[in-house]
Amino acid sequence: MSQRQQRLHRVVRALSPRDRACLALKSEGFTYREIGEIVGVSLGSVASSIAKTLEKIERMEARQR
Amino acid sequence: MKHLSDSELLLQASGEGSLEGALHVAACARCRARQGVLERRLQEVAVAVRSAGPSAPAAPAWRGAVWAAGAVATVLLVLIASRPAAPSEAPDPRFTPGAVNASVTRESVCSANAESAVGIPPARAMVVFHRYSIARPEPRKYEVDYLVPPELGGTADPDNLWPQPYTKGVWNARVKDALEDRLRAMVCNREMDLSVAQRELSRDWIDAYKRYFHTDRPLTDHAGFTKDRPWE
Repeated sequence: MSQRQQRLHRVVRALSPRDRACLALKSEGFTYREIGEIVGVSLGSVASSIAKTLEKIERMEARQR
Repeated sequence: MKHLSDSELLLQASGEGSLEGALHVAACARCRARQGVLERRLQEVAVAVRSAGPSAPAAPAWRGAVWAAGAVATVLLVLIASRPAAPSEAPDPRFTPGAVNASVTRESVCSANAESAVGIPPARAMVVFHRYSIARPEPRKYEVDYLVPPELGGTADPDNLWPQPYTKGVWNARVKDALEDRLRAMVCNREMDLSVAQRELSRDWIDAYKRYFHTDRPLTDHAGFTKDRPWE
């Protein structure tokens, strides 16, 4: 596993269970609406959760530069 | 000009955003660029999540994230339990339009190392059942089948998957498996283009079966044809 992948995994490990579930389901091909139905939140909340996860990854990568 | 937030851009990228937002993205180069960055990152993270499957070495917390998908998928069964089951012999093109890997060629399809169907992860199977409003899918009653099989370049995207009943009607999963084998043989014998085989399966596989086997009913031999594994 590359260092970058290890860093990605570290970010994911630090997510809340709900944010991890949203990400895992998105990676399985669920739509935001479907994830919202499963997790019990709005479609906008799912998108917001994933956007925040991506932001964390961007911040982490910026620190590495 | 007020630009879209990251979450709005993600929704737009998956076709779930507002019309107003779509019009903005179409006219805004900055939002399109940001959307591209977000999509690439999401793709990378999704690959990392998938690659860390239950069998991959990983820390317990990370495995928990992957298992969460399975657990949440189980919850989905409860959420959709009140919906009417709607199994069908033919896939609904709204939910299963078909999806193929454009880089697959006749040579790769017919080589000894050709792709073969793999089991569909439970969470992805749940997406498919959910799309078809199937509550409490009974084990071994369905095959979560590829509309275009990997042997003919189909992908494991939910757009290419559908819950095909083994027992409902005569046009069931076993019969379709026989057609898939027939079309692949024709492709490899250069009797048919790969794209034609893919189209035949994604357009109307029952009609294709009738034409290629010259029959209005499934052949008796095909009733017990087994290639793929049932969903359980």
